[in-house]
Parts: sequence; C-alpha cells; structure tokens
Amino acid sequence: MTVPAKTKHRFKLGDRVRFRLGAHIVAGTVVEDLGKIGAAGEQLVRVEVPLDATYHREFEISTAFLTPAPRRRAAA
Amino acid sequence: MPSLSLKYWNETAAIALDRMESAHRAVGGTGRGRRYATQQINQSYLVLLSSHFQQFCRSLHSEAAAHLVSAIDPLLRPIVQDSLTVGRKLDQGNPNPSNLGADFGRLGMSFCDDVTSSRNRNAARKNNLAKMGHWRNAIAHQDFTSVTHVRELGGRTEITLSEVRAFRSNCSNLARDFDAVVLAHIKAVAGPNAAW
Repeated sequence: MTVPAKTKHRFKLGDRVRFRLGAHIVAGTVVEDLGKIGAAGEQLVRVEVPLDATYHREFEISTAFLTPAPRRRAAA
Repeated sequence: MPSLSLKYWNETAAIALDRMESAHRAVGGTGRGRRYATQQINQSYLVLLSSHFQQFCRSLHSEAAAHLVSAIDPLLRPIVQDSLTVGRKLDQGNPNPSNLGADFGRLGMSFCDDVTSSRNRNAARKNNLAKMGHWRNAIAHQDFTSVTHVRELGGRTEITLSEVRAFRSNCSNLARDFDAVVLAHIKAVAGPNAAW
C-alpha cells in the first residue's frame, strides 16, 4: 500500500469529494474546514457522507485521502 | 512550538474575546442602566469564552488524533482516525473536565490526571473550568433556578466582568498545559520525533 500523494488541492465547504473507507469508495460533501492541523500541515476537513437514504455520517479526514467528485445532479 | 490549535486560541480567539472587552467599555458609560447593559455583555462574554475554549479543545483533539494516526498504514488511517473522532463529546458538549477526560481518553490518555499532575494549580483550574460550564449553561438556557445551578452558582444570577476575566485567564493557563500534556503523549506513543 502506498502513501497517498500529497494533494495540492485545497478543499472548501460544499465541495463534493470521494475517499476510500475500508473496501469501499464513498462520496460526500465537505461540511467543515478544520485547517492545516494534520500531521506535516495537512488540511483536515469534515465530510458528510450519506451512508443510506436516512443515515448521514460525518468523517474527519485528511485531504490527502480525498479526490474531487462530480456534483450531484439536481432532482428533475 | 505550540500546536496550531493553541496558536489559534492565543491569536484569533483572543481577538474575538478582546472585542467583548471593547463592547463592555463601549456600553459601560456612567449613566443610569449601566449595570444592566453590562450584565448582558458579561453574560455574552462568558458564553463566547466557553465556545472558543470548546473549539480549542476540539481542534487540539483533532490535531492530536491526526498525528497519532499519521504513521499507520494509509489504508487503515481514515478508519482509525474516524474511530478516534466520531461522536466526540466536545462536538456538542461543554469543554468540562468530564467531556475532556472522555474524549482525550479515547487517544489513550489519562487526561485529567495528566493535566493536574503537570502543575500544582491545575487541580483548582479544573474546578474553575467546571464552574465556568455551570455559568455557561445557566446563561445559555436562562436557567438559574435549577437545583444544580443554585448549588453551583450559589443562587447568583449575575456575573461580573472580573469573574469572566478570571475564567478567561483560567482557560488560557489550561490551554497551555493541555497543549503540553497532549504533545508529551504523542511523543510517548508515536516517538520522540513526533511534534506539532
């Protein structure tokens, strides 16, 4: 397993992101920017992930593990 | 070198709290009604102080968790970091000794013992922090008559500026020592080269 490449992307509130959680790739929305308080100055954010239709979880995670995700289309 | 959380407390939070001092002076004056106008400022100041200290404690916890997991397998890192931070009491509750002990305990610390043993005055400071929490709750919920608040606040409903300043000084002293004991724990667990 390789260490994720340091991302130069600075995520901001409302950004859609993806990250690996165990065996799954999950997608969510950045809901809080905690600043660059991670190890070696990594940016930490809170990402809200809808795990199912009624249950949302917030994950505190380094942006080194995040990749941008496409925005969800608005319901027709 | 202090944590970024302590730096934020010492700089950004201090500016916000200083503005409450300015507001107190601005509405103080010498005319009638001074006592009542400033009482609202004092109460707001206390609630703002508690919220900024809560933010400091929560940020310090996040910073510590991130450092503790930085050396583990990257595949496990998000899972472990999540397990250390999800559902923290400090996300919703006051930064009182009970909540602090519970949350930092999840990082493997005997937090309150570590803080009180690091400096003689910290036992009293911990009690003052608990008292600040009672004031904060009484003000935020406008409940000065419950059994708990009557017991803890002595039946008082007003707080003085000097008392709020004393609580602020108490928080600053604790912030400095929280930062130190958490860093010592990170070094003990992650190695002597680990640092903020």
